Amino acid sequence: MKVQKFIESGILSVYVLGAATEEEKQEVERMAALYPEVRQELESLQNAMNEYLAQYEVPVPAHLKQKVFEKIRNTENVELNLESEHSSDSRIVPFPSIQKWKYGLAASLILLVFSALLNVQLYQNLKETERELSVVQAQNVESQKKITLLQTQYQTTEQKLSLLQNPDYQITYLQGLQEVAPQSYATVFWNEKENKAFIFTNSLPQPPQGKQYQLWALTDDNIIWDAGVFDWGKFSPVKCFKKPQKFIITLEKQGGVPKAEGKAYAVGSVKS
Amino acid sequence: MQDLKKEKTFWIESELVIQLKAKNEKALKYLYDHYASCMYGVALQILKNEELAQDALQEAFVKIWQNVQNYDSTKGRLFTWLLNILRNTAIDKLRAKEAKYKAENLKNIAKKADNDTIKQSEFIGIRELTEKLKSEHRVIIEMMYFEGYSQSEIAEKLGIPLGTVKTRAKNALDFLRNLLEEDTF
Repeated sequence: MKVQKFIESGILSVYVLGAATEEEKQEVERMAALYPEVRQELESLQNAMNEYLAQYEVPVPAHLKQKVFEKIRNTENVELNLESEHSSDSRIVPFPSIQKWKYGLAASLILLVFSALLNVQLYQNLKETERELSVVQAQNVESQKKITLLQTQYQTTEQKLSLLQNPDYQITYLQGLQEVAPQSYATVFWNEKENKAFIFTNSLPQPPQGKQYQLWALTDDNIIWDAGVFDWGKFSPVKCFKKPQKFIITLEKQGGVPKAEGKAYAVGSVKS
Repeated sequence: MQDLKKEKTFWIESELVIQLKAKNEKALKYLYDHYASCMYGVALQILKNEELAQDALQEAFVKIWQNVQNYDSTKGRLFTWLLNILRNTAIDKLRAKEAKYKAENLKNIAKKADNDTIKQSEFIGIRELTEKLKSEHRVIIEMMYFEGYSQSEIAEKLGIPLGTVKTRAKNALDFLRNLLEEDTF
């Protein structure tokens, strides 16, 4: 086989030992690129040679490192030819060439333009973000309001529910009067043991400005007790000291009156 | 820039090549710290003169730095590439040195070179491995790699056919490879 014959010829060893002619070098590199077996054998021989050469290792005098790097810097900066006599003169302080300076300026300008464009872009992004943030903040305030409202409603509901579940509370439904508030009603929760009472209504018409609903309790002895004013739409405490026969709601001026003056809106009999 | 102390970091070869191509001076320092002593040893072996060997090492490093863009990892290891540059630089110096003394008696030079080699060997303390190589193998490696003779020059000097030179080169490296394989067990 051609490849095997090539490997056996010794041309790879000659190549590794640096004695290949120019044509042989090209041939080896071409064959190594074409055939993995050739490449593998070449690498194996090369590794053996490297390992062998590594045994010749001799510590380099310490001062040489400094010299080597100075030489490299000088050739870098002054772009001196390797063979130049000045290449080992470490005192040369190179002045950057005009050409390098031009490139530097061009690069700086490009960077400046790029930076400016980037800034505009970033500024626009910032504005957009700020706008979005204010929208979100407004939404947040709205949500907070809704939450507060819901919390109040929830608490009200909870209270009502607990009252409904409490057997000590007697519940009286007050029916809206036909002329002023048909199909309206209010609910009074009354705890005789603890002398506590609550009223809730939002089905009565909302009272006009300066007016407030007031609750009255009519007892068996035909005395009408002031049970206090309450806020429409809220679960409100009222006063009730004696077992009433009837509850009456009237619309009075804000803050209430000692004796009922306004129109009656709802009436309910307490179950006995 | 002033710090020429040894860097403690470890670079894998591919990383090192990338950094060298990016002209990272730290990468070159790493290269120096890891390969300079071996390269110096090879330069000494070729030139048999400390001053010339140090010059060769310096020049080789400048060439490495300037030509690192040409290094192609698909064609071989970085170490091989470094050694090739070093060897070519050193062989060039050897030729210049030889040309300088051409007028002198060739025999004397040859004798002196032989003495140098022996001294150098003692100085370096060449390991067993070299001693295990048959003289036939040692000669071919010496002539090809360290003295940079061409195949036809070797054929002429040794009085053997050109084809045999290749065979000997092959035998020498095969033998060396086997020795190294044994060594690892």
